[in-house]
Amino acid sequence: MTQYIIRRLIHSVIIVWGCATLVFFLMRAIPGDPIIQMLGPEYTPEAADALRRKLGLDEHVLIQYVQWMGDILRGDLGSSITGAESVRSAILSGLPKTMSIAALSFVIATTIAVPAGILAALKRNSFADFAVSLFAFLGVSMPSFWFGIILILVFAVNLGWLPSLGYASISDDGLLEWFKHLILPSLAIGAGYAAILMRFVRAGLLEAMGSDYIRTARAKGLAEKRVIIGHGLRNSLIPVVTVAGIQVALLLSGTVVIETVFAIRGIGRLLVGAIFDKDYPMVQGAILVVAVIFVFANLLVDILYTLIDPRIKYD
Amino acid sequence: MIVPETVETGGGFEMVAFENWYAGRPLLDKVTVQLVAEPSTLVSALEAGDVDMVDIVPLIGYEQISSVEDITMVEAAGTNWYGLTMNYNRPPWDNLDARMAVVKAIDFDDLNKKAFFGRAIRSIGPLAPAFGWVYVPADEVDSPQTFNLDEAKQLAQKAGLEGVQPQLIGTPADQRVTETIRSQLSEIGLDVQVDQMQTNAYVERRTAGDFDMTMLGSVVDADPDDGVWNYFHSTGPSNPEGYNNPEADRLVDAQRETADEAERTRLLQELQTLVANDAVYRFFYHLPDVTAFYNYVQGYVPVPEQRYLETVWLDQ
Repeated sequence: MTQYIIRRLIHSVIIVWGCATLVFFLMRAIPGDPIIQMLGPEYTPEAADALRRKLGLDEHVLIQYVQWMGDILRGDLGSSITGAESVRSAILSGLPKTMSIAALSFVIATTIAVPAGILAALKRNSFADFAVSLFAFLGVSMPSFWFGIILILVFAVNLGWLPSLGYASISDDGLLEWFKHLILPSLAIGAGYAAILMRFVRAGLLEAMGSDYIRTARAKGLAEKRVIIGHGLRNSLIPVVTVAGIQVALLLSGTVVIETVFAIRGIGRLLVGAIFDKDYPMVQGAILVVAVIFVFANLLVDILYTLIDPRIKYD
Repeated sequence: MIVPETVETGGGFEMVAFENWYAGRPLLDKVTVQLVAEPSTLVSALEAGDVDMVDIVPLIGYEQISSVEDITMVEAAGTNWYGLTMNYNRPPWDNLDARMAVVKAIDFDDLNKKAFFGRAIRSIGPLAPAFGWVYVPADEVDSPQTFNLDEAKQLAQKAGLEGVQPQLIGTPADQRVTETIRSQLSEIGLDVQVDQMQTNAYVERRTAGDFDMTMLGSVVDADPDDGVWNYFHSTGPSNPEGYNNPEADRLVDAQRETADEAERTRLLQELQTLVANDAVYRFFYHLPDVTAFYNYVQGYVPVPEQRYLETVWLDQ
C-alpha cells in the first residue's frame, strides 16, 4: 500500500506539472492582450512595450516558462499583473472560502443522496421511488446559478433568514455566521450533486440486494437493517465513491458560477476574473491549486476503496 | 476623504476615514465595498438589507428596488454617451451613404425597450445631460440620425449594402444591443455577423481596427472634452474607426484652448452636429446615474457618476 501511494504521488506530480504546463501555454495562445486592456485609453505601442518589459512579458515564452517553473519550485507563485496582490495571498484568501463551500456541498449532497437512494432502492416502483427520481431529475436539470438566485429570493429577500451574499470567516465572525453564509451557495451546488449521487446509490443498492450473498445473509437470520447496511450498502459503495471522487471536480467547477452569484471571492471567482483579465500568474497559480486538489481527491478515493472492500489490494 | 485600507482583487475593498482631511474627518469610520458581478444578487442584497447602498442600480432592478418603501433611489443626469461606430478603413464604411443608411435604420425606441428596459435617454451626440451648459435634448433638434426606414433603405440601395455581411464585435455585456441591432439592420439588407468575445480579446481587436462595426462610448467624464477628444480627434486614443476630419480636429482643439463657456458651448455643439452629420457613430443614448440606499443613509450629495461619502452618516 505504501509503495502504491508513493507511486501515485509521483504520478500526481507529473499530472499537476502537465496541467500547469498546458495552462501556461494555452493562456498565451488564446486571443487577447492584457497589456492593451490594462493601458486602456493610454495605449500607445511605446507604452505597451514599456509595460510588457516591466512585467517580463517581453521575454520569449519558453524563457517565461522556465522562469515560472523555477519560481514554483522555490514556492513563489508570483504576483498578479493586473492588481497589486500576490498570487499566494490571493489563493490563501480564496481557498478557505471555496473549500468551505465544496465541503458543505458534499455534506449536503451525501446527507440527501444516501438515505434517498436507499429509500428509492428498497421501495422500488413505489410512490417514494418516483418522488425521489423526480427530485433527482429536478436536481440535475436546474442550473446551479438559477437555483442559487431562487434560493436568494426565497431565503434572503422574502423570509430574511439567511444572508444573500458574501462570506464570513470563522475567526472573524464566528461559526454561526460562517455557516449561515455558506448554506445557500452550498445548497445550490449540492442539489445537483445529490441528484447524481442518489441515482448511483439507488442503482448500486438494487444490484447488491439481488445478489446471492444477500440471500445468504437473510437465510442466516440477520436483521433486515443489518442486511441492508452491513452487506447491501457497503457492497454498493464502490461505484458511489468513484462517482463522488470524480464529482469533486463538479463541486469545484460549480463554485466558479456560485461564487459569482453569491459574490464570494473564492478560487472560482478569482480564476474567472483572472481569465477575463488574462492575468497569467493568477490563472496559472489558481489552476495549479485546483489540479492539486483534484489529483489528491482521486488518490483519496483509490485509498478509500481498500477500506470499503478488503478484497482490493494494490500491492 | 476616505482612504483604502484592504484590497481583495475582484472581491472588494475597505476604506477608513482619513483623520487629517482638510475639510474635516469624514463622518463614517469605515466603508466596506463589495464587488457584485451578478445584477440580480446586487438587487436582492439591497432588498434583503445585506448592504446599505448600491453604487449603480442595474437596469433590471429599477422596478424591484423602487417598490421598497425604506429605500431611496437617487437619479442624476449621466455624463456618458454610447453608440455604434463603423470602420472607415473598411469599405463600404468609408462611404457616408452606407454609414447613414445604418444610422437611420436603427430604431432607438425599439432598442431602448429591448436592450435598456426603457431607461435610456435618446442621444443626438456626445454631449451628455450632466453638462447642462452645453447639452441639447434630442427632442429640441431635428437630428439627421432620427430613425427613418424608408430613407435608410434608399441609402442602402445607393451604397450597395444588400447582402453585405458586416462583422459586429462586442462583449457578452453587449448581447442585448447587438442582437437588436442585427435584427433592425436586416431591414436594409445587411446580414450582420455578431462576434462576441471576452473583454481583453475584444479590446485587442478593437484597438487593432479589426472590425466593421462596434459599440463604444464614454463614461465618468469630468468634462465634455473627455468624451470628444478621445473619440473624434484624428489622434484620439479611442478612435479605432479611423475618423479623420480636419474640421473636427479644429473644433476639438479650439474648445480646449478657451475657457469661455459660451465659446466652448458653440464649438462643442458645432462639433456634435458635424459628427452626427458625418455618421461617425449612430449615437444611441445617455444613461442616467442611479444609486439607491436605505433611508437611514443620510447626507448623501449626488455628483454625476462619482460617489463622495465624506458627508454621509447612518441614522440608526
